[in-house]
Amino acid sequence: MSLEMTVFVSGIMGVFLVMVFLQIMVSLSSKLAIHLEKRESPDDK
Amino acid sequence: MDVIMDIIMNLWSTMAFDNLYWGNVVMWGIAFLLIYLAIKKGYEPLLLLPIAFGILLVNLPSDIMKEGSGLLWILYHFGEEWAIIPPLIFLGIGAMTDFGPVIANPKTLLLGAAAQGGVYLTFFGALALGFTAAEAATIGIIGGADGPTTIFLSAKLAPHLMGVCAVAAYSYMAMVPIIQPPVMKALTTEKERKIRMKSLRKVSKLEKIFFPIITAIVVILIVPDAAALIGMFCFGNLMRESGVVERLSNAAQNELMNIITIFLGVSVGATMPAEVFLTPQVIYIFVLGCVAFATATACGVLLAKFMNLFLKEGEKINPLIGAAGVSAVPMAARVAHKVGSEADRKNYLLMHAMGPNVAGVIGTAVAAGMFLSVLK
Repeated sequence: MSLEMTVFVSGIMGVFLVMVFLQIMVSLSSKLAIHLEKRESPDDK
Repeated sequence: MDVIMDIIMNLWSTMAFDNLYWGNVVMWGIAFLLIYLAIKKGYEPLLLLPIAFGILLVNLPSDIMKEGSGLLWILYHFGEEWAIIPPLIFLGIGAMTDFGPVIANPKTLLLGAAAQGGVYLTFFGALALGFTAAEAATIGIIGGADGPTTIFLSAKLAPHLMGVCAVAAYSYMAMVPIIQPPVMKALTTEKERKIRMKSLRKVSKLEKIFFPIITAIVVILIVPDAAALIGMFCFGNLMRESGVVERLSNAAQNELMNIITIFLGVSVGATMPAEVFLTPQVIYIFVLGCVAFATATACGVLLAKFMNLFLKEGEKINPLIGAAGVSAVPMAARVAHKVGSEADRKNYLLMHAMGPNVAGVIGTAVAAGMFLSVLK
């Protein structure tokens, strides 16, 4: 594959790969954060 | 009489007039235009004003840009060529950014990615016009409408294009309200523009603390070349959200940001002497930059429409917020809101559009990292 096509394909794939992973990880980390906060809140009371 | 003439000639030879040529005067005109746009029209004045003055200074014959000793050369060399200033600006941007809308609706991250399509399509446009791959990448990144990223990438790949590309990026950022609405309206129906989105949920402090940590890990593991930008961006955001280093966060947002903005602007302007700027290439770069920006807008809108094909009624996205996937924060989000409210006065899209808008900042930095990983 030519350099230009390599730049294009790897670029588009890289950007979407990052965003898809990030979306998954942000969703999971949100769930974890909400879970931790729920567990903590009864102790606060 | 001869003595007087000698004195006058000696005096004349110490002046700069002999080294002046018509190109310098044209550049003064460009500098005056940018100063006018910054002061009178309020177009990105924080950057256009220092850039314009840098252009003026470098086109007044002097040694201010002399390699090794000129003041602006030193600022340029250590600030931009060493790519120190753009990551520091990202630190400040991170400290100013609220990622709540992205965390509340992570789908919008994809819209930030889609807008980078314009960057890559313009890359081919630039290649077709005879630019090298490294130059084409630098021109393409203008479509991300992110000045610091454009400067960061050009410093690494095409330093000779830095000034032009930076001015193009900041000019188009200021022209978001002019360039984007026609593209947005052409690609959406009235019905689509009226789509109302569910209110965003409240995001907790812990979620906001997790976000920069997760983002830094994910992005840097996949695109290590984006580490400088994303690392500083996430660190700035962690300082903000942690709430325990308010002084540092404020310093990053205000004092540090202001100081580096001065250095960045004036030294970027100084990379535009007449002999570099007054070439046909510059016209191509401005045209390609505009194409990149319009295409990036279109890609964001089109992906939002595509996502709607798979989303249930009530969860659909207003495609206008896809246009905010270019990074110009918060201007692009405001434009999405404005175009949406023209179709439905009570449709409040601003917070929804902030999601793809801040995702676009990450997306452009990632796109720059991908260019670097292949081309450096």
